[in-house]
Amino acid sequence: MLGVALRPDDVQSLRKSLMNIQVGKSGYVYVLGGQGELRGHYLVSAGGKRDGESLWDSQDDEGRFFIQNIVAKALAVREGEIDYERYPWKNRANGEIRPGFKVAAIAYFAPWDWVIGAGTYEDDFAATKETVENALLRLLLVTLATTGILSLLCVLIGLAISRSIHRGIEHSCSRLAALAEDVKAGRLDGRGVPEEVGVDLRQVIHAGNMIIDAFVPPIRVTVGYLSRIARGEMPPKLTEEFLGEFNTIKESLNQCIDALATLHTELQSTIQAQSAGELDTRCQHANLQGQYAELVMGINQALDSIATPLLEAITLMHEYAKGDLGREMRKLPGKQIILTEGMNSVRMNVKGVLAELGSLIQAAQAGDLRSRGNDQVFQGSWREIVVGLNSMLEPLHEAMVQVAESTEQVGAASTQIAAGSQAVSQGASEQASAIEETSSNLEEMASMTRQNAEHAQQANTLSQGAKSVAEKGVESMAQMVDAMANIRASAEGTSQIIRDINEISFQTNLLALNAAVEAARAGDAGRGFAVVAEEVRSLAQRSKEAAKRTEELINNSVKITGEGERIVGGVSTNLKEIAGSVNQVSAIVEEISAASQQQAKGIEQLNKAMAQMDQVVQQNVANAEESSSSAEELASQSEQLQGMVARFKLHRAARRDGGAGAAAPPSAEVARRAHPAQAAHLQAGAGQGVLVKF
Amino acid sequence: MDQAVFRKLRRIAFEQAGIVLRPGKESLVEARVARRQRALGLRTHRAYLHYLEEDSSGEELIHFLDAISTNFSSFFRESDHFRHLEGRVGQWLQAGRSEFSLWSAAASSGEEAYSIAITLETLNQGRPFDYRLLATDLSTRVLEKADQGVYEAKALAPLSRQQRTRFFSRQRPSAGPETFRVRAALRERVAFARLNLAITPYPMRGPFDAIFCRNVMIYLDAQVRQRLVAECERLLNPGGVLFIGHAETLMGLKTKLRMVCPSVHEKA
Repeated sequence: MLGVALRPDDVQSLRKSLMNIQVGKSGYVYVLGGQGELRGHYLVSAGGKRDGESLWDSQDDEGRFFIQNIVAKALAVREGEIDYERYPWKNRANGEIRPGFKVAAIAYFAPWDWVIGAGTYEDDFAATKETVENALLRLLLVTLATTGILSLLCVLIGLAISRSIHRGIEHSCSRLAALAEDVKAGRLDGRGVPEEVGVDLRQVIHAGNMIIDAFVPPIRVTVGYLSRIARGEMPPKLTEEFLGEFNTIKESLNQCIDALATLHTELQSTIQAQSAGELDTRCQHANLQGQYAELVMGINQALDSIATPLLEAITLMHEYAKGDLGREMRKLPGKQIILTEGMNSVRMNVKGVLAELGSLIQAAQAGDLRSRGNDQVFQGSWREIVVGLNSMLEPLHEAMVQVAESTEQVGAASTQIAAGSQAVSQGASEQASAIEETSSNLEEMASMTRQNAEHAQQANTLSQGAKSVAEKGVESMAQMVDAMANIRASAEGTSQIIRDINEISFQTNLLALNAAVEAARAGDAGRGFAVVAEEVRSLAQRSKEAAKRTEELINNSVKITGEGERIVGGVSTNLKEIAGSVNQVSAIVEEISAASQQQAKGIEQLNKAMAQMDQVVQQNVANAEESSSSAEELASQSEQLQGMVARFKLHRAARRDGGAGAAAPPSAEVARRAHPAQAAHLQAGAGQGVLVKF
Repeated sequence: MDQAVFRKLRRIAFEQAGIVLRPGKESLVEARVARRQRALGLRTHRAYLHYLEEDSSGEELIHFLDAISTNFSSFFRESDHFRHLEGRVGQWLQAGRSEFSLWSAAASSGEEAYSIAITLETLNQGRPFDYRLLATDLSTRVLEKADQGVYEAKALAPLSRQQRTRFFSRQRPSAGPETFRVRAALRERVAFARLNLAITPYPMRGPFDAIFCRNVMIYLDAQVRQRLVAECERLLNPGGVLFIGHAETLMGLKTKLRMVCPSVHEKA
């Protein structure tokens, strides 16, 4: 390609030359902005006086927006062609009052978005039309010259012409050479003036002009396209008909446009896809050739070199996000090593923090609240995490230390309380049993006392009876003494009778003796009488003996009666004494009875007091036992608590071990564990075996 | 305590063990039952009564009677009884006897039985003789304690220093007051077993030379007393003695036992 460059000073000089062109008597050349912001603005005004001013809303004498028409026509005009605009205009600025029509020749220079107008009054137009057109053409040639391409052609043409024309024709040659120089210098507007040469050579000048004219349109078109391409525009394909080599240029340009369009499309879609995050999208190069294809492949390679590590990083990040920190980022080339290092550093930091966290968790699970994460190996936020973890553990540890200490205190206190209330409870229980037993004993005594009182009462009654009986005895004794006296008196009377009987029996015995003598004298006749006398004598003998025995008996009886009288006297005295004693006994028993009753009442009161005391004591023992078992519960719970706390390893002052935890279970419990069989015989059924042995 | 519950518990205590709980003993029953309630986690007295009534195993009845019975005892309580026993055994030894059988009927936590054993062991120093000693109680709880034979120092106050050293060994518990344990030799002398005195006849064959049944009858109803005394009479050897509490009397009971001195009765 040939370099295409339009220097700014070229543009400046062009502007100057434009603004100073005069068209006819009063016409001038101007440039308006065609599109965008500068649409309808003076880019180049006559003499540069009105540059920048907007004419867009300018109206002609008939009120039409003629500038808008000019711009519209300019934009519609084909490349390298000229259009015209006619409008009624009064040039007030010049004080002209002549109404007339103005004519403007319009062209559009797309690369710069220039609407180039050359306007004058219609009257002047005929004279100046050619000038206007020439000016425009010159303008276009200036532009074309910037490409420099034609300079070569022109030189060649110039050479060809110069060679073909007669050497003698100096002037023509010099004119053509000047034209060639113009072309060479990129001034395509220059034309030979046939009138300056001889008539015969005018054709030569004409021919030179025609050659230039033949080159200029395709070159201008090509230049326009190339300029647009150079500026980054994507012009539509050329559709104009060109011939021969020009057509090849056209085809090449079109191919170039195609390639650029394809390239543009591919890049655009790839960029879009990449922007949308489709990192694996690449440019298609099947429709591109040569350098274009290489360019695209290069871009693809560049994308690869960016996207592949990025995808790798994304995959790894995905793994990391899922918690799989197993893989690390491979070492990337060049500056991409930063990505590698960054990724691996993130991984190492996460692993490190996790390791710290893990060891802290493990320690905490094992109850060790003393361990801390090492924050020195981390930096920045990573360190903050570990520091945060550590500072989170700090109050936890502190709290556990306090809990442990409080628990120990509570444990010690509750053990004391439990022991104390156990003692109180036991004491209360023993006291209650004692009181209950005493109370039961008192009840028993009360009933016994009541019984005693009753018995005393009975004894009193009985002794009263005894007293009256004794008194009756004394009376009976007196009567008996009288009776005895009577007996003695009767006995004495009986003695007299016995003496009479004795005398009678003596007389009878004498009579019987007399009768026996008389019977003997009577012999046999008296024999029977003698037997009777014998019987009578024996009866008299027996009567004498009976009387004698009776006398003895009577005497004895009188003697006994005398003794009896004496005894009765004693008995009577005794009885009197008994009666007196019974009286005394009765009085005592009465006292006893009264005392017993009083006692019974006293014991009854004692009993009531005891019962009340019993109630209170039983209530106390219930309360004491209740609080004792509560205290025990408390102690065992605090023991549990201590056990729980003891699982934590804490930074503490030396611990007092073997405290409440080692407290012995109640001895009965120990014993039951030690001698389970021994305790068994105490149970209801098993006891029978022991009992039957006795 | 609800009167209805009290009456029902009272009835159970009476029917099962002849224990008389007179009106006014509500606090006592409440206090005693509270232990069981705590042990069983029952909140109300009524709930406990229900539990007691529903327990077909009879285990709770034992616990209830354990709780409801009063256990108060001390070493050489009413020491004249032990002097009397000493004299009696001396006489029997004089008469050539060398074997004796004794029964502590309401042994409580064992103090009485061990006091008897100590009395006999002391006598046994001169002339060797053999004796068997049965100790029974209604409460398994106290029997366990009796069987263990562990007492606090203050309980041993009635014992002489000699008795203490001869028959007890000092224990060193990790916590609480100092305790002493009856030495094995003495413990082995006593056979402990549960016996409900309200249920007659008793399974023992006898005969016993001495029966200690002290401060039992005070808790019992007259009928149960009668049966108890009749059983004692049956189980006593002629010439054997029954010791009862000083506040107790056999007055009004049908028995041929003869009072030797207050609270001591002899079988003819």
